[in-house]
Amino acid sequence: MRYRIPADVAWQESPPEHHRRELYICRLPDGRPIVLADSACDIWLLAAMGEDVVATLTSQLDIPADTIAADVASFLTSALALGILEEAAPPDPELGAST
Amino acid sequence: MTERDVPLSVRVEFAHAALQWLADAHGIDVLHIKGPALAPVLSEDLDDEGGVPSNRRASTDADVLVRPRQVEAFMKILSEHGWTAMASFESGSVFEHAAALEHTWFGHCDVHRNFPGIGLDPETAFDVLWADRSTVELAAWPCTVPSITAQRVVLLLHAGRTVGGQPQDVRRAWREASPTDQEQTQLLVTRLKAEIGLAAALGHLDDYADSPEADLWRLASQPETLRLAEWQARIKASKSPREALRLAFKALFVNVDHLTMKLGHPPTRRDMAAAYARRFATALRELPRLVGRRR
Repeated sequence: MRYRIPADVAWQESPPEHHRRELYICRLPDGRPIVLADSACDIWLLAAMGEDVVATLTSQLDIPADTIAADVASFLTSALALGILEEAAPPDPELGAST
Repeated sequence: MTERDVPLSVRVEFAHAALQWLADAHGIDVLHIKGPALAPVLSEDLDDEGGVPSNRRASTDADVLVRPRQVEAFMKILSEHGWTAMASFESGSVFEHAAALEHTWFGHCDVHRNFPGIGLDPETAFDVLWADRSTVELAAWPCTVPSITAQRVVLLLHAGRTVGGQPQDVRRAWREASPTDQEQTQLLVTRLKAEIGLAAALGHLDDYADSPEADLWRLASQPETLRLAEWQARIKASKSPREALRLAFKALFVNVDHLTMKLGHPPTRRDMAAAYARRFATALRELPRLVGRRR
């Protein structure tokens, strides 16, 4: 499954003076900002870019997929429920073939 | 996923994004001004190594200028989305130009219905600024901003009425600007009829000694603005006898919004009585100094 950022979501990374890496995500116009820290930032960003999160992380970190798959799935389920990610339509094979 | 504290600078950018979302959803024209909406050349200094911002502008609230005829509708929309009024246009400042609001998640914002120092009719002035607008991303959200030249004008006019004169802003917006940029800025100042505000920012206010507005600008940038003098200047600069009368009447009253902010709760009758007493005492104390100023 692929994901994308919903049309009503604003987000930003922690400011330069902040000592900890965090992501702040907010559903507009008046949702309470959600804070992601550490590896959750990577998972959200990869998912938001439409990447296969587990495949990308296991490749980059050189670890077996089953060590992170359950945690990633749990995070993505929560992110969908909170509305800070949404499912992306699968790529159109005909469109892909024609380009 | 947690709901920990969100840094102030992050909340301010979310405030900008939320204001733009609401404006777009309801067909309201807004321009984001000051703070993170500024172009980097006007908000950041480079360090000695070059290239790396070392003095990013800190902002404690989000400022937007709203098309004047849409201000009332926008204020209503904001109130329906969790924004609470802290100070009305009338009580916000001596220029009556902005209302202050607060949101549980996003902090503070200032909604401007005009910008002090711009003498052109507010609706026409907004059209001028709107015509050359561009877009910046704040919290990954496209927000509408005035041109860089207009941003220079806004910074300079703000500096002209601020205690201490915001020397960093004047340096970036004017002293470090190229001759071409200065010329463009001067042209826009003329078009907006904002010459006195620019003179205040650049320390040339004496060039306008005969203007009724000059006293207002001089007092606005004083560290210890005299209460009576402030109102006197405001009345002097009023555009009609009717407005002068309204201001003179209003000068006698305590600003309830300010008192609420100062106390942290709505004032009681006893608070109001004490504030009235202080106001009249201040007025009496300042009277001899005022008489001296008028000679």
